[in-house]
Amino acid sequence: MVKKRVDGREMNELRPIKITPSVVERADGSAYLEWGQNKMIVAVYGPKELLPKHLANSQRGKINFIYRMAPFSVPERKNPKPGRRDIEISKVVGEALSYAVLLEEFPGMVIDVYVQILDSNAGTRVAALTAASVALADAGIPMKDLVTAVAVGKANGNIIADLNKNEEDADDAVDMAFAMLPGSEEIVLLQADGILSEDEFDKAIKIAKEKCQEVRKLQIEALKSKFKALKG
Amino acid sequence: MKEIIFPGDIINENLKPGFGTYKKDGKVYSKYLGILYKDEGIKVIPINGKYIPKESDNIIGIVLEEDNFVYLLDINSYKQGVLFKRANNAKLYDVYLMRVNSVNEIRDVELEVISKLANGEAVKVNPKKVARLIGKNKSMQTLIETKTNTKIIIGLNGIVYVIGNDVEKIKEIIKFIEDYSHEDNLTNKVSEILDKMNVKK
Repeated sequence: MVKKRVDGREMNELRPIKITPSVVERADGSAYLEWGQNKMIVAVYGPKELLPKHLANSQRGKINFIYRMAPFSVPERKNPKPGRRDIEISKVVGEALSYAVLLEEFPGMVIDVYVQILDSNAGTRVAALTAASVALADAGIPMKDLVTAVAVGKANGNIIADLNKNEEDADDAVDMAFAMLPGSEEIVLLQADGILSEDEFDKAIKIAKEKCQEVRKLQIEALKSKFKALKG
Repeated sequence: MKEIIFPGDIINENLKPGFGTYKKDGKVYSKYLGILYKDEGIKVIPINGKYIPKESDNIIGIVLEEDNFVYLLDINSYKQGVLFKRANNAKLYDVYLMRVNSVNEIRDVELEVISKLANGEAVKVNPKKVARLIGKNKSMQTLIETKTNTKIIIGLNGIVYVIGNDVEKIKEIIKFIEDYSHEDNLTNKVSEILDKMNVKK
């Protein structure tokens, strides 16, 4: 018999993912994403002039990525003031996106990406990255490739993909956020806590690369729905 | 239905790569989510995005702000357009037909006023769909103008000025063209819709 996880998933099975592009009317591009229990809205504004001008880089554009969790997105109320974690995620995810977007086309300009987490259950940073790249494509911003991300890790002695909150809280838990450009397999985000052996790490990376290709297919399906077919 | 392409897709064609593509390790990739065109070369027209200013384009701008020396205009682009007060006498929300005299490397534009537009309404269009709204040899524009008995002035930056009574009808048609610009034979379909609208009336 094949061993299954507590929530009934296979060892390397993702939670159900649903992406809807163009949900915010006044934004240049946007997306709504459900990844298991995680729910979030991403809105993209720009490219636009970066003010005050001394912050602007005359060689290339900037991505201003803002990740915020709603007070009701976690079981215990979260203080809406951006904390250490929000600032860290804004930085690393923004940098991962900067690698994919062709920013040299927008000197002195900025692209604002706002992520609002409405509900969370582990793996929101990879979900935010996945949704943000859909929103950027929706806004018509030039990119090398869509960025896809998954979390992999270890819980209760098994190497698994897409951990949920219970698995993340296991005694031997390792949570590894992983993002790459699926075409060239360039890794743009890799963060981990906990301890993995070399073999386990290699195995985890292999699973992550496989799963990223799966996520890209879902992103493409979502973007395809923007092109409505004419009836009759 | 035309071919849809996604950022990072490889384009396997032996044609000259053009707008919306980039080259890496001898392969050609798409930069945008959009539609792939293969005529003399390959180009990808994005589904969305702002107006990229080009020299000698005719555009339409709306005055949105003023200070002591300049008016700032919404031109649907990355940056606002600037008109000097010493040369122009405008009010807020005035609409101008203008020509782009020059564009520099950081996409600042220099504008020259052709005329002030009056007695109509400005409607915004997705700048990437303006070419479809004009059509080949202005076929779509003429069709809409004759069937609705209005005059439309199209700015290449995606602001359309409608003079006539049927502004709501024009808005509906523009929405249709934006939604279905990837379909073939668009002019015929728009013609059918306009006929249906005229019957209802």
